[in-house]
Amino acid sequence: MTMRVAVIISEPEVTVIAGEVRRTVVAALERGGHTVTVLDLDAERFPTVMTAAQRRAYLTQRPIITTEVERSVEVLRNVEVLVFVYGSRLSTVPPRLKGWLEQVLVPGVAFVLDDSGRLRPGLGQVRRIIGVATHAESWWEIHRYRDAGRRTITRALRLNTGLFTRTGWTALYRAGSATAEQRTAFLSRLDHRLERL
Amino acid sequence: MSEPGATPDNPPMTGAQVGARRHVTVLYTHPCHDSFVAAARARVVEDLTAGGFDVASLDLYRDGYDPTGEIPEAHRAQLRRTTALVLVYPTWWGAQPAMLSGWMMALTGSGERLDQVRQVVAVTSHGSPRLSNCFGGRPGYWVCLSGSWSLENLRLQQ
Repeated sequence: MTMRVAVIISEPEVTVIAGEVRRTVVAALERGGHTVTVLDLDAERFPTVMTAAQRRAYLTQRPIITTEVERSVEVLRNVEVLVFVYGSRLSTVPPRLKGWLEQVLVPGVAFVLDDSGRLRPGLGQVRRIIGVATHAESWWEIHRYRDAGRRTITRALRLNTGLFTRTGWTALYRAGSATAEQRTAFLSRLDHRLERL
Repeated sequence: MSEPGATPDNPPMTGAQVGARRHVTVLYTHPCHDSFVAAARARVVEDLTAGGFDVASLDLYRDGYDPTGEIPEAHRAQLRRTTALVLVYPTWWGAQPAMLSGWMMALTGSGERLDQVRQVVAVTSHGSPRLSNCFGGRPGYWVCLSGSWSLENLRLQQ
C-alpha cells in the first residue's frame, strides 16, 4: 500500500554519510511507490528557536504565526508516515529538529482538547514513525543515556499520534570511523526497511 | 579544591562545601519573562542569594544566543568562575528547549574544561502529568545526564 510520507531531515554537519543516508531514504521510499515530501530543516534554514511571540500565540486559539511553520503543519497534516533523519549530539536530536518540534507541534496540530477538556492526539492519521540516526558515539555510549533522541521521537511524539502507530528505528554508531563495509551494510538495511515501510 | 582528577567516585559536595566557594551560575531559558519558569528562576536566584552564594544569571533568550553557533565568550568567562550550574527551563516535548540543548551541545563540543564545576542542577516544569512523562521516556533527564557527564563528570541533582 502506498502512503504519503514526510521526511524531516536535520543534519547540522555536512558529511558523506549524511548525504548517502538522505539519498537512500528518499530513493527507497520512491521505489516503494510512496509520495515523498522532504523537509530539509538546515537547507531551508528553518528558524531554530521558538520566539516569545510564538510562545504567546501557543497559548491562544491561533498558535501558528509564521509561514515556515504553516508550511510544515500543512505537510504534517497530510501524511501517514513521518521519517526523521538526523545526526545526533549529546545522544539527542539536533537543536534545529528540536526547535521544529516545538514550533510545529502546537495545540490544534499535535493535540486537541476534547469536549471534556482532556488532551487527545491530533496526529491520528500518522501510522508510522521512523527514525534514522547517525551517531558519532558507540552503541554503548548512546544507550548509557537511553538514546534520548529516540525517546523524543518514538515516545514523546508518539503520544500524539494514533493508538496503533508503529515505530521503527535504524541507526549507525561511530559514524565517523565506520568502515566502508559497515556503511554499506547500514545503507542496505535502511533501503530494505524503507522500501517495505 | 578544583582537582582536575575529580572522578565520579568522589562524593558530591555538601551545601557547606559548595558555599565555601560561593559561585553559582543560574542559566535561564524561556522566551517570555512573565512565565512560570521566569518566576522559578527568580525564586532560585533569591534563595541562592539568601543562602550566601554569589549568584550570576545567564539568560539565553535575552542574550540572543544562536543554538547552532558557539558559546559566547562572556558565557565561557562566567562558567570558568562558577562551581555550580543551575539550569532553569521548561520541558518541551520531553526535553530541553532547542535553545538550551544547542547551548549544551556547543559547550560539551567546545572542549572547554570546567573541572571546578562540581554540581549541575536542573529546575524544570512539565506541561503534562508525571505519568505522561514516564510514557514519553523523559529524554530531557537523560540529555542532562549525558551533557553533565561529558562536562568533566559531574553529579546531577534533580
